[in-house]
Amino acid sequence: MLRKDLKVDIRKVAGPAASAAMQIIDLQGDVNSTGEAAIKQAYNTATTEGARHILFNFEKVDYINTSGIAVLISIVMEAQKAQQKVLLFQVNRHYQKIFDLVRLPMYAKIYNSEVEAVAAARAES
Amino acid sequence: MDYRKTVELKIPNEAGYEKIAMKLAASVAEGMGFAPERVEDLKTAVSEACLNAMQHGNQDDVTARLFVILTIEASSLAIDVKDEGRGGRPPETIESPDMEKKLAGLQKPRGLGLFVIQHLVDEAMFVAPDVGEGNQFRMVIRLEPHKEQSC
Repeated sequence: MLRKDLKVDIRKVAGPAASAAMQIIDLQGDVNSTGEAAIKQAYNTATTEGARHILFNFEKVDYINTSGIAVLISIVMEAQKAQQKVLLFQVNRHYQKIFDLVRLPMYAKIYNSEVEAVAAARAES
Repeated sequence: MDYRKTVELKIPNEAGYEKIAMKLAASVAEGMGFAPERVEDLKTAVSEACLNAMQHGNQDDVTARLFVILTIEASSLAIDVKDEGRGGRPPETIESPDMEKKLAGLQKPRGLGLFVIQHLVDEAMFVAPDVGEGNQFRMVIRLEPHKEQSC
């Protein structure tokens, strides 16, 4: 009743340089254990299409719990094995603090905006 | 003068209802004058404590009882989360997870809740239940007069 089920969409970066190698996963709702299947499905779709950089957009997320963080950690682990890079953007200040606590940014850097995250991913390409 | 006042809440043992406890704790903490950043920390701590109680203490049984008790004092707020203790005795100490191992895939990614709580509040520990049996987890935050505006 009180949960905001997670809605997950995948898109390519807009513009002429759009490529399947860089994909954005937009998250909307609660990032918790119930969102696991949707996040993993989006990650798998991006991977199948050849994504090397996967950017998670937290702009429309206002609730994350440690079960949701565990889902993100498992994605980061899979991405490492597949030699992909995971980047996060528009994470609010409070959840940045929580991500810092669990040292997630060591493996998935956090950027203030989509523009910054895309620029960082392009610089690595 | 005795400032102690208590507010008690009983919530269904079902994920999602922890948000009611979060909102209640936030409302009380705001009223006491805690800074917005500390209220956010408290919300996450309360959420994690409730989810921990639902999953471990009450073994995800939707019929189990879960209580959240807020104790308001002049310069501190204590939040006790009480479950039925069906998952056995709680840990005596809160161990720090090995994040490098988790992130390297050598340890399960879950089991972060108590670790996170410990970093968000001034005190966090399992205590002997005030009434009856079960597990009782207590979190305390204290007003810092230099940083916070007292009401």
